[in-house]
Amino acid sequence: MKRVLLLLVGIAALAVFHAVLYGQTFERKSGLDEQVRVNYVLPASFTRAAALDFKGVIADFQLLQGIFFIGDKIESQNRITEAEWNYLVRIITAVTRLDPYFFDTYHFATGMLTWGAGRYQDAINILETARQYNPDDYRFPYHIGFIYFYFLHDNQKGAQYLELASRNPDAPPILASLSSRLAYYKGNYQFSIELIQRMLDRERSPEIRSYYQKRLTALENALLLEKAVKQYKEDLQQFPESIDVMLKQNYIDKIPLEPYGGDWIFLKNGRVYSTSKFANASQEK
Amino acid sequence: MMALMRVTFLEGVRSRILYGIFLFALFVVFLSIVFANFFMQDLGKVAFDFNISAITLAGLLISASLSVNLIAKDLDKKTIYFVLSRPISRMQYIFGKYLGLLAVFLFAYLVLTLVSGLALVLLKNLHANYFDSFSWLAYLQAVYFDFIKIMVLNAIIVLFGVITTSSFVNLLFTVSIYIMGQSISDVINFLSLERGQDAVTPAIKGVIAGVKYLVPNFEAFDFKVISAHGQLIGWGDFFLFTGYGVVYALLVLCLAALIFQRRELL
Amino acid sequence: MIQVENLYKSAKSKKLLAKRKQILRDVSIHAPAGKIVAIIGQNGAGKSTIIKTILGFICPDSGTVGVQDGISLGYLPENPYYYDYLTLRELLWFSASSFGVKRNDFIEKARAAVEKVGMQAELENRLRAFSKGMNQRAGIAAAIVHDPDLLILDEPMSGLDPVGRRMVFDLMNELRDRGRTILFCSHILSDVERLCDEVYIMHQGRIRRHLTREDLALTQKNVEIIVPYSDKAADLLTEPSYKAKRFANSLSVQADASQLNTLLDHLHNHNIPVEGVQSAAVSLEQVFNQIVTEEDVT
Repeated sequence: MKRVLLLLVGIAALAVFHAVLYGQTFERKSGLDEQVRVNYVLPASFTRAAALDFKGVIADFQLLQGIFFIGDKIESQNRITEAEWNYLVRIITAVTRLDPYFFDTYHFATGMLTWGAGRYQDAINILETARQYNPDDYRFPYHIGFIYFYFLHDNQKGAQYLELASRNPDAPPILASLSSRLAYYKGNYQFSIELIQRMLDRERSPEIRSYYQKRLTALENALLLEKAVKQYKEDLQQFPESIDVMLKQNYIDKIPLEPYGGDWIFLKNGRVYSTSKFANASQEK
Repeated sequence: MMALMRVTFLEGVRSRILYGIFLFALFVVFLSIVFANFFMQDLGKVAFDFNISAITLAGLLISASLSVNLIAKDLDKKTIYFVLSRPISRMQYIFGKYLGLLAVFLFAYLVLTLVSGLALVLLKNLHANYFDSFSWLAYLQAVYFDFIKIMVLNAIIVLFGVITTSSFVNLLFTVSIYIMGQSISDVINFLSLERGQDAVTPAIKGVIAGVKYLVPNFEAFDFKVISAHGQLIGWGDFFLFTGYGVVYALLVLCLAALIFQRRELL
Repeated sequence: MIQVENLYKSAKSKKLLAKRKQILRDVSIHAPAGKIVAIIGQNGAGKSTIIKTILGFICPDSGTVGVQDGISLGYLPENPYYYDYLTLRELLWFSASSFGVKRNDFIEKARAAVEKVGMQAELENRLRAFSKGMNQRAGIAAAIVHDPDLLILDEPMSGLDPVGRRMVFDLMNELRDRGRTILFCSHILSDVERLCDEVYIMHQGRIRRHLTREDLALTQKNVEIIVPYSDKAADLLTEPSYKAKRFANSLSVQADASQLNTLLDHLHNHNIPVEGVQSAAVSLEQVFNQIVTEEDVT
C-alpha cells in the first residue's frame, strides 16, 4: 500500500515536471528552427516516386505546408521576399506534379499571386495551364474571368471567360446570366455585389474571405448611397453636392462605412465613388 | 481447399492485429474530417484522399503483418504437417491459403469502405458546395483497384513465403518489390526523356529493363488521383487492368506452387 | 499397408564445409494391416524423419515408400500445436471435411472422437486456451475423427498424464480390434511393450532390431523381488546370477522367471521376508539400453 502511494506521488510529480518541459519544447524548438529557415521542397519527380500509393494525400500535405507558411507570413505582417515566393512556386510545382487536377493548388496559387503579390498576369497564366489539364472544369475560366473583372477591370475579357465557363454542363446556370450582364453593366455595383457574393459563398480561406467581405461592404454601401442619390434626384430634380447635404435632409441616417478608409465622392452623373478607389492603402505599392 | 480457405479466413478475422489496424484506419478516417477543414475548395478531393489512404494503408499493414506470417507460421509451428497430412496437395495448400487471405482482405475492404463511406457522407453533408467533383462510383473504382493491387502484392508474399521461412526477410523482399513496382513507371518515363538518356549507364539501363518485366507495375492499379476528381475509366481499361492483375497474381502463385512442390519440410 | 524399403536420407550439416549428416541409413519398415507397429529410439534417432518420409514431407535420397492406395489416413504430428484461433469443433471440422466427411455425419463423428479422448466439455473452446496435454488430445481427436484405416502417431503419449496415457492405450487397442493399422513412435517403452505387435528399435539412423509379438513375450520372463534391506540380505544376494539394486530401505532383485522358486526358497531359509514379487516390464528397456551402449562403444 505504501509502495503504491509512493508510486502515485512519483507519477504526479513527474507529470507536473513533464508539463513544464513539454510547454517549453514547442517554443524553444520553433525558435531554434527559425534560425535556419531552409524552406526546402524535395524535387517534384522524387516526391512523385516516393509517394508510392499516397500521391493524393501527400499532395494535400504539401499544399497544406504552403498554406500554413503563407498564413504565418500574413499573420505576422511580414513582407514576403522573392526567395519565399520562389519557395511557394516550388511547392505548387511539386503538388501539381503529384495531382495535376487538384483545384486547391491553383486556387491557392492564384489567390496568393493576386491578393498577395499583385501578379495578376502570372495568376492568369497558371490558371490557363490548369485549364489545359482540366478542360472540363468550369472553375478555371470562371476564375480567370473574375481576375479580369475584379483586379484588371477588363469587363470585356471577364465576360468572355465567364461565357466560356458557363458553357460547361457542370457550371451553375447563373454564370450564363452573369456573363451576359457583365459586358453591359460596367461599373454597376449591384452586379459586382452578386459576383463577389458568389465568390464569397465558395471561399473558405479566412484571409481571402475578409478581402471579399471588405469589398462587399464597400460595394453595398456605395449601392446604398447611389439609391439615396437617385431618390434625391427624383424628389429635388438635382444631384446632391455632397454627402452632408444628404445627411442634413435625412436621405441617409449616417455616413455609411467606407472600409478602405476613403471619403465618398458624388459624381455629376449620380454615381458614387470613394477617394480610396476601394483599394487597401497597404496594397498600393 | 475450401476447408483450408475457411480456416485461413478465420485466422485473419480472429486476429487481434486486424482490429488494431481497423482502429488505426478509423483514426485516419477521423483525420479526414479534421484536415478537410484546412482546405479551401476541393474538400471532396481531400476527404477522398484521406479515406482512400486509410484503406490503402490498412491494406498494406495487413499485408505486412498478417500475410507475411501466413506460411512462415505454418512452417515454424509445424502446423503444415497437420494440414498436408490431409488429402490436400501442396498446390491446393498454396491456393487455399491465398484465397483465404483474399477473403480476409475482402472482409477488411468491405468494412473499411463502409466506415470511410460514412465519414464521406458526413463530410459531404457538412460541405455540400465543395464536393463538386466527388463521385461514389469513382471511390469504388479506386478501392477496387487498390484491392487488385493487394491481390498481386499478396501473391508475391506467398511466393516469398515458400522461399524463405523468415517472415521478416519476406517482409523486406516484399517491400522492395512494392517500392520498385510503384516507381518503375516513373523511372521508365524519366529514361525516355531526352534528359534521362545520359543520366544512367547502359548497364543500369539493362537492369531497369529487366526489372520492368519482373516486377509488377503497381502504379497501374493506382487510380486514386483521377478517381479523387470523379473521373471513371472505360470498361476496356477496367478489364485490361483487372486482367493484368489477375494474370500476374496467378503466374506468381503457380511459381510459388512449383517451388513449394519441391521443397523439403524438415 | 506400409512398405518402407532401404531408405537413405542425408541432410546438410549446420557447419559450413562439414560432411552431410546421414539421418537415415538403410531403413526398411513394414506395417501389416490390422497391426500396431512402433518405432522406438532416442531423441534424434530418426523416428520422425521416417514418419515424415512416409507422409511425403521429405524426399528420401534413395529407397522407396509405399502406402496402400485408397486408404484414409490419420496423423498426429509431433508438436501438438494447431491453429489456436480455432475451436476444437472447427479443428475437427477442418480435419473431417478435408477427408470428405459431410456435415450431417460430422456431428456424430465429432462427438465420438471427443468422447474417446475425454474432451467433450471442450468442443466449443478455442485451442489457444488448451494446455499441452489438451492439445495432444485435440490432435488425437483430429486424427481419428474421420475413422481412418491407417493411423500414424508421432509420440502419442507425450505431454499426457497417466489417465491420458491409459486413454490412448485403450484407444489404440480398440482401433486394432476394429481392424485399423497403427504406426507410431515413442520412447515410453512399457506402453510399447504391452501394446505392439511389432517393434523397430532405431539408433543413429539405423534399424537395430525388429521384434515381433513373440520376441516381446520371450523377453518378458524376468521377475523382480523386493525385500527389506539388511546387511544379511545384501550379502546373500550378491551372487552373480542375481542383480540386486539397493533403494532406500529395500533391495530389488532381478532374476530369470525360472529361478523364481529357488530364490524364494533361498530367502525363506534365511528368514528374509519378501515384500513383493512382480514381473519386470523392463526387458525391452534392457534390449534398448544394450543397443544404445553397444553403439556408443563402437
